[in-house]
Amino acid sequence: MINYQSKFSHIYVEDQARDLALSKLVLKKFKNSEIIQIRHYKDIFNRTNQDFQLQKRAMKLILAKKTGPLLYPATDMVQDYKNKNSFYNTPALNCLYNCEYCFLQGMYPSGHLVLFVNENDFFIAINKQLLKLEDPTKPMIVSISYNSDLMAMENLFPIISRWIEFAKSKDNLIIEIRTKSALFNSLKNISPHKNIILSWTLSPEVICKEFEKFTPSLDMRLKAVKSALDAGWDVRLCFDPILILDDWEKIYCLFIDQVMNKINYNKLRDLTLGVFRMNKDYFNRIKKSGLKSRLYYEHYVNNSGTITLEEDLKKAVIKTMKNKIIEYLPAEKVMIWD
Amino acid sequence: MLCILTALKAESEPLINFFKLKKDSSFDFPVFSNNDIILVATGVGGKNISKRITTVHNQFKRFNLIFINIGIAGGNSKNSKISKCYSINKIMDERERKTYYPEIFIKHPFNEKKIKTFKSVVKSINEDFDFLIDMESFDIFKVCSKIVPIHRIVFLKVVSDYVNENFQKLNATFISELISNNLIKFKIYFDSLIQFSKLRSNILNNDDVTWLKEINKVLSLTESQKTIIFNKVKGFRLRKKDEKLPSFAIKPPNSKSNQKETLKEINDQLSI
Repeated sequence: MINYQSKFSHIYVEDQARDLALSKLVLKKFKNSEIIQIRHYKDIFNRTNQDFQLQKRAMKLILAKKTGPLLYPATDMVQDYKNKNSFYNTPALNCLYNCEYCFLQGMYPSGHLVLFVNENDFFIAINKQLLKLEDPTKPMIVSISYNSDLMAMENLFPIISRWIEFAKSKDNLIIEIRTKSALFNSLKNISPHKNIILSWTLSPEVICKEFEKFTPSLDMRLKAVKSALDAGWDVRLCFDPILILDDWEKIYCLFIDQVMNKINYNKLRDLTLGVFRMNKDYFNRIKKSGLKSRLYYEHYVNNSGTITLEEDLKKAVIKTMKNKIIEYLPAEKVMIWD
Repeated sequence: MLCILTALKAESEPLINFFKLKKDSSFDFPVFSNNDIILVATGVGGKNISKRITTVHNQFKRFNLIFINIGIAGGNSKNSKISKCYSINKIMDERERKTYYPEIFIKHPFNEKKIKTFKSVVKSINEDFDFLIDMESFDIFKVCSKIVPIHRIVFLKVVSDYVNENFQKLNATFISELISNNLIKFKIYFDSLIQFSKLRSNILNNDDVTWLKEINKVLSLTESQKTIIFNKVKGFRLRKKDEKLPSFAIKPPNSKSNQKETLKEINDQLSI
């Protein structure tokens, strides 16, 4: 048996990040880690010839200070909510999980986790944007967990609790926190607020087991969703990506029943659906890396630079899913990612 | 397979004896090996490093080489100990224009330190330094990182002197003794690294490769057809780990359309 280094056995700290509060807190928590001073996080993260999957097994932590841009307009891979005020940001790069369909493997050269510890700079960027919204009649929506899973790390790095406090203080800001985590307990002392959406990505248990390495089981996630709904949080469910395996219809219909039977679905804010889709370059990079995942050897089409299902199949999948979901939710609460 | 890189004969001799390495006379520089380990004498300084490492790599690259530079280094009496071996996690050169960070991914029995590489022997240093000092780590990382992924480059340095204090004591016997004192720990670490280097990373097994060659030979596939069928076989193997690929009694096609039909049939079978 190979003894891989434990998670965060090494922490790389940017010179300019060392004295920031979040760095100090993290370094205090990981007293046994090797601390290595670096000039810039890209000296580690952007090295050539790294092995993403190996780094996932022996993940290191990089503490850094993010310089601009601190806010990105939502891309067409992110649902736009038909709102011109949609953005995402990156308080962290990479996450503790290792889902086979995750685009980050193709986007980043490294599997190590980068934590940007200058939270205030992120807050300032949002404050500035709030003053110049394209559509001031609508709230600004910021997805803060687009390139990571912050809730999964909340017990280690208290980031979302700070973001929640920040969002609560704003009149026209909504932050969306996406997660597959079961660690809802990490928020138990925080009261829910209309400016926060907790979004859980759920998949049938067979998918969790085969394609979502290191994530909690469906059952654990459902317990977290139930706790959040019961506590009064605004909760979104994401069935995304829907993966087309043998018997997918049966698997997903049973899954929807299972989910809805375990939670008070009337309290859900909404639900989003999406099939597998990935930027062509990321897809090819992941495939070339030799990842042993059958997902990358299925039949897809290249739809203007996005690798996805054939249009007819995609429509059929979405139709089947939507028809089943509207047994529980009104159709207007079901959103589709095109 | 591990590829140990040493600069001095006195460093390599205890390793050659302990791991029972045999001289490989096919190289025009000193190379010793057994089934799992090759030892290459790089000589002192950057001069021979590139040529020797590249030559050996070309010969052995099918074995997923992990390069391990083992050697002596100077240290500071305030933060290092003579005869103690350190695993290196940061490599600077004397002008500090660039820094390398070895990727330490397997547990090891050593403490860790950073190292600074100098072009010439350092007999005194006027600072309260907290790194080790040597003459080759920087160049070795530079060369190796171009030919293997960075996690396959390891640096183990044994402190031989405190630079300002006892430099004159260094002689071949003393250096060999320093290396010998750490052989058991080297072995523990090497066992894990050897095991890692033997992990199979290919999706296809030997039978799959033979199957593909046969199909290609009989059907005279174009490059793009080869790619399609290659990916299909990979998908099949990932879905069905222990199943054999479907067997076909394929005849050489008598026309292009006949070839395409056969290929479609194979494709369909692989998609099930």
